[in-house]
Amino acid sequence: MNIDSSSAIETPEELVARFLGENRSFLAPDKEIMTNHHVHPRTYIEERVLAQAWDTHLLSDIRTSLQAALDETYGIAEMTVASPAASCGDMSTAYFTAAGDLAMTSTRGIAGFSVCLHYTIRFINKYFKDDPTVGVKPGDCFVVNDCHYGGIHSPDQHMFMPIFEGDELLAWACCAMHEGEVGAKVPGGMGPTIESPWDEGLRGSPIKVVENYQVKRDLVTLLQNNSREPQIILADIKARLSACCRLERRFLEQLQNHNGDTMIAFLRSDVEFIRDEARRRIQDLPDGTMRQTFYVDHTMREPGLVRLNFNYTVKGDKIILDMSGSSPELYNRPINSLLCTQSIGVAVGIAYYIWPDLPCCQAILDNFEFIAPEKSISNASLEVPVALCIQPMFKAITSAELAFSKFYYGASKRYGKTKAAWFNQPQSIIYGGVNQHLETVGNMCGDINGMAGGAKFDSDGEHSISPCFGSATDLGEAEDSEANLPFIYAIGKKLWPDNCGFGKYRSGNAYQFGLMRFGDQPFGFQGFTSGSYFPSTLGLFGGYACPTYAVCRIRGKNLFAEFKAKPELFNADMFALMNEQPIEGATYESLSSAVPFEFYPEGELYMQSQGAGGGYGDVLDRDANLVIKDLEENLISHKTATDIYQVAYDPKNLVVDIEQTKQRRSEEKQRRIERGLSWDEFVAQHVQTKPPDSIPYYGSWNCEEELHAGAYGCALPEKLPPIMLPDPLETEIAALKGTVAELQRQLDRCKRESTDAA
Amino acid sequence: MKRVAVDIGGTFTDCFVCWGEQFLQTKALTSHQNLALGFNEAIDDACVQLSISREELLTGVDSVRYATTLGTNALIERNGPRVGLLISTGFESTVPISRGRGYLEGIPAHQIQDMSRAKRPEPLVPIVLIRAVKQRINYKGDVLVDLDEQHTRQQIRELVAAGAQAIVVTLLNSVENPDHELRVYELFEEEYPPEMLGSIPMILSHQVAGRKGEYVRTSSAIVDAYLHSTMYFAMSSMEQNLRSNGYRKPMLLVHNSGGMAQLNSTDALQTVHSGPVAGIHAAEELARQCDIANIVCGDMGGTSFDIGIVTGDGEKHYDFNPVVDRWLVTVPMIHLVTLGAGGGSIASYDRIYESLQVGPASAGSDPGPAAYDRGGMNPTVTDADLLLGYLDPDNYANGQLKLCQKRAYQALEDICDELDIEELEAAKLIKKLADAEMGSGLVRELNAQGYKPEEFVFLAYGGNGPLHCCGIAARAGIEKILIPPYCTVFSACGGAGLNQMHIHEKSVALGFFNKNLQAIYDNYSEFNGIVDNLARRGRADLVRQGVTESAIKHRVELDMRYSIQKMEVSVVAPKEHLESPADVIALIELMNEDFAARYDRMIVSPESGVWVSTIRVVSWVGHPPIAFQDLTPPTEKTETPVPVAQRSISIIGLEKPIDAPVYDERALTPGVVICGPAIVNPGSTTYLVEPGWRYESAAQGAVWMYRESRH
Repeated sequence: MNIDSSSAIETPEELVARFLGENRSFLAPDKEIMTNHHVHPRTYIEERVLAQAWDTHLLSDIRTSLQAALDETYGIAEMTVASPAASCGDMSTAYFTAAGDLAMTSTRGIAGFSVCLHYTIRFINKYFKDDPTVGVKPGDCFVVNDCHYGGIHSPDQHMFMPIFEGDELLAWACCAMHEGEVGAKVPGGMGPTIESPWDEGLRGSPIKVVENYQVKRDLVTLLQNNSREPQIILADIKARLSACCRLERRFLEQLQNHNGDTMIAFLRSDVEFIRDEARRRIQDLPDGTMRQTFYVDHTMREPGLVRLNFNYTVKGDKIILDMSGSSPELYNRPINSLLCTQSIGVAVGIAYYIWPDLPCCQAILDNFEFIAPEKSISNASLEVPVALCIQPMFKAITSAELAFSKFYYGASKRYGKTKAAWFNQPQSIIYGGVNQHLETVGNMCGDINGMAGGAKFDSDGEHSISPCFGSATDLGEAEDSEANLPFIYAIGKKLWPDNCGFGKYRSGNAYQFGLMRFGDQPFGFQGFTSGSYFPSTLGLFGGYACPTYAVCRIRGKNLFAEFKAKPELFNADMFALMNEQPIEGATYESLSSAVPFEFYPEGELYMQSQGAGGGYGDVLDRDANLVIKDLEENLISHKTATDIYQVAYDPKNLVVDIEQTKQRRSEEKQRRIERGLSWDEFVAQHVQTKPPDSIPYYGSWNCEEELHAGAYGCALPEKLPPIMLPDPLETEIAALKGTVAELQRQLDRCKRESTDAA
Repeated sequence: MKRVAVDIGGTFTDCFVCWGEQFLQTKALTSHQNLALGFNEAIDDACVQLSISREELLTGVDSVRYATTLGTNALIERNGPRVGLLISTGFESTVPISRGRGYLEGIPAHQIQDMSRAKRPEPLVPIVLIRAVKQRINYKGDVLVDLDEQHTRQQIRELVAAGAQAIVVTLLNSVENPDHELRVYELFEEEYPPEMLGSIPMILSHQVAGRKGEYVRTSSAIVDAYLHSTMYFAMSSMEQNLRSNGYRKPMLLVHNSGGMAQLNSTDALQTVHSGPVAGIHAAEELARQCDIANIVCGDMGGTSFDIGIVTGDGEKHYDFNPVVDRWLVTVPMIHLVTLGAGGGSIASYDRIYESLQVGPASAGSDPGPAAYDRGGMNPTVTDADLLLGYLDPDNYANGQLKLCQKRAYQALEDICDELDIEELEAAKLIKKLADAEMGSGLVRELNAQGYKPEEFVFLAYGGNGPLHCCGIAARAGIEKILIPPYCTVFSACGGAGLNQMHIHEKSVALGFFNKNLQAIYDNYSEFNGIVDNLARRGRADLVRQGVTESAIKHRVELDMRYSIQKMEVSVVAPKEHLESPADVIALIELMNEDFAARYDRMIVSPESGVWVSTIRVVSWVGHPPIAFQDLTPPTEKTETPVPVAQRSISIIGLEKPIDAPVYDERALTPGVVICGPAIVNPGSTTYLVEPGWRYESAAQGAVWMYRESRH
């Protein structure tokens, strides 16, 4: 089938392009494909088919059947895949048009996976379909995990199967999922110490691993040989193949009832229905610009302020998202992101929070334009690692939440409920090693799904509920984890005071948790988040941001032995343990949340907390009774009740003094006025010409075009050299060597003086 | 056999009476203020038909079996006690956080993606009634930190002082080692002796559920504690009503596990969803007696469509983590899927796809469809059925309800304007979409369980089942439909045939094939000991109810999975005990066969290791089942009765209305054959024989529909 409709006479430019295309030594990621998030123009066949009017009810009927097929397949695949993350819902099933546009996804799962896979299909269509050494035939399946060809990051692996009627390609079926272990420098495929694309493990461009419905064992062996868990790679390829076969079968059942043209009309119409509805909704918004700025406060190896800008402009039926001014890419740090990944973040934010009645599809974004300078953290080059691109991507989700909440301020029709932002960091622990059943295991704890919700305009947010990038996820059960992994949840799920974004309505609270190793087999943990110094997510219309979070460790002692001997020391609370330090001889550490992988001996404790969302509205408008309820539920401290919310009450019985509360709040408002500054005063006091020297800062300052780049100084974006940061260990060693040298000098001097004295 | 079985639903109280050779079906409106009134009315109706008094009936029957939605209603109405929780330290927020997913249990699928409105239900245990217990036990049952008894006493006192009216105790890994939970109970009794006035119940999690999973075990215990007193008083009152009418035996309560037990051996959680489950049991019995290999049940009522599966291999399909109201619990419940589709499902215009959509919003029974003329303004499936000519406005539900066509027309006006079509066209679309939704639901469910729809008979019952069954089956690719005997009280009929049964289970982690050690499981004494213990508990339950030990039977079921997958397959063990490697390998092979047949041979993965995660022992004593006659349509056909009327009906796919014959109850005479299109209205329900389908009546009022051609 001819995907492209054009058959015009070749221009000289096209001739040259074709020559260059035919003489390529390497099919590198195609920039033209990867920077085009738009719906593909109708193909010749789509144009022909849609030239006639279609019964929309017939199309709805097909939609019902194929949705059932996607959900059924998702359900079975979730239960039969081997990847622990995918088996907890970190996956998706989908149908695409022949040209690669996403038409439908499963109701459950992480829809964001599917939103970024049209790139891969377009690559296959462009380079492999007509290549006799590859080709696309019934029963073929392609696998991809390199996000430069589509997808989010390398730990994800996706499989595609073409669906034909005779020789005609009608559609693509897909089973997308988070695989995890792909032979990267660290278990699980992502971690703070990844410093190069070559540390990210397998870089799988689209590979045809299945022909005639049979797994090609030689290629799959190659994939297995690039992973620490070869058995899981094979099992998951089989599970995905089984899922794709099932999706193909269901599609062909529909084809029997209808015909190829109908199925083409259905798939294309679904894409266009969503695109057109999104356009109508944008048209209904007021023109204007909303600006969001975020900071990732850690490069994953050292603290720093890495700026991310998101300026949304509504103009008629278009939205332009300009990310200029964001940090330059960091050449040897893993928190760079691709433009396509950032666009996924926007789609996810819109689908879950702003237009939740629309399916999360690529077509939502058709009326968006994205601007991001090349070699920036939002539009990184091929040369830099992107394993933790979720750092900038999660900020993109939050940016959409907040910008659209403001665009919809005062709107007569809203599709989602106006609310402050969700928490947006993957506050979880990645583990790896050998378990108590002597199996090699490596993955992420389900706690990643425990992010708290932002405050709503009319009520408080929900406590730890779901990740910012998905719905219907699961935190799992500690008892099940403990039965299979060599640690106990010394702290399971415990909300703690003041872990909220305060406001008229507060965000949900989020829980602390702590893992304590048992057994003597090699087994370790790592963390890969930011937000330890600068709040990750923000409040709305006066609400507070979330707090900051640290990882805490108690090391150097076997706490099992200590607690067995002295049960009274067992206090399952991170703050009590860290503040009271009850175990003599143990080391108590508080770190940023980017913690390199390390083995832990039995009885050491690794603790952290999930994060809160943003608050909504002024804290002084919060109902005093709600403040007291928060106190009763230990969600806030007395200090917060009195100093932040300015509520007067009897601390013994928590009875509110209404009059005194009014008085306190009135006084606080007066103090605010007194603290207030005129614009000129504010500028004079607070606006600095450059970032503080003590903080490694990356990105624009004062809306200037130049970008700061930490120790590299500042320059226009295209004038900056590659930002190569030193290895912190080497820096530390160098500092220690300096100290040793200085001590040696002092020693030598003392010796000399002593010799001289003698 | 003389029995009474009752299924008390939200609208009707269904009653099925076995009186020797006579089987009677009656209905009465449910009397929510006093359930005994509706029960008595339904019984009295049967008594009239038998020409005996209520006392004669109730002194004559050997049992009264009772399925009820009371538990579900109590959860919805929130009229339970203040429940407190004691839980292992560090896990105090387990219940408030509810695995994150607590917001989505029990809400329609289309709302799940809307995270901007995600909201958990009001908790059954408020945060202020949760206290920590200092102790810790690991996954093997070893004590890591001893129980701090003094601290525990203090926590109990605080809960009581805060007004707890029942207390649940969940300590981590108590299913491996319940010592600490039991000790907490002792401390509680020391503090608050049970013989004192005002003593309150304490429920230990390991006694409610034997499976691992601290959240689901806790939520099960909480729901149990919450429903306990409500259920106790209501059931005692029902039992008292029975006694005052001459019934002297213990009342039997239908369980959602597919069995039943006396009040003294039933916990509240086991009664939730017991009515629909009894319907599945009736289908199972019908399949066995009539030698039907595979049945998919579809109970279509006013607000929902319940799907259940019965297969010839005898495999039980359980939900081990069912949702009760808004709560995820752990209890082995017969698998049921409920779709929000029924006669009350509302049709609306979908702007995004420029088409009609049906459901998930429902007009329910109050106000109900517009045609009920009770204030409902939205167009529903029943309104469409009326306009299409399928329903007789003067003879709907035995004439108990008059339908108003004018209201139905008015209700459709808006969507007709949006779509620029006529009312009849809109009504056809509504029926087609409703059938498509339910048919797709059947397909999704069967496929998800690893079955092929075309190999199943569709058992259609419930008020709207016989009318929509052809459309649903056609959509699902099913060629045979059976509308069973007593189809309007089919769940009550199922209750009449249940066995007394108890299920006990235990979470385990037994490596039947440990890939790393390259070893086959050989700790037979461990396995057999667990089985014996579970069987002993089942025996004790039944003996307590007066059953003799020799009558008790056991079945051992294992939940097995491949090491690298989460999918668990329930395998019925051919032997109760393990004695050799051959026994273990036989079980692995059984699992492989089942897995390959249902899913895909490609993903059968014994090489990765095979684990048993749960051992379950079903203990039961058999009761004589309800005897269905041979339901095969007679080979000798009866002359088709003369239609009582001709009615103009509109059929999907036909442009113009056609005249179709209408038959009355004489069409239920065994051997009658009718080719569609036709309508059969015996009064209690309406059978729509669509074009391309053949209707054949069989014994006991059963009706078969066969697809002859694709219309």
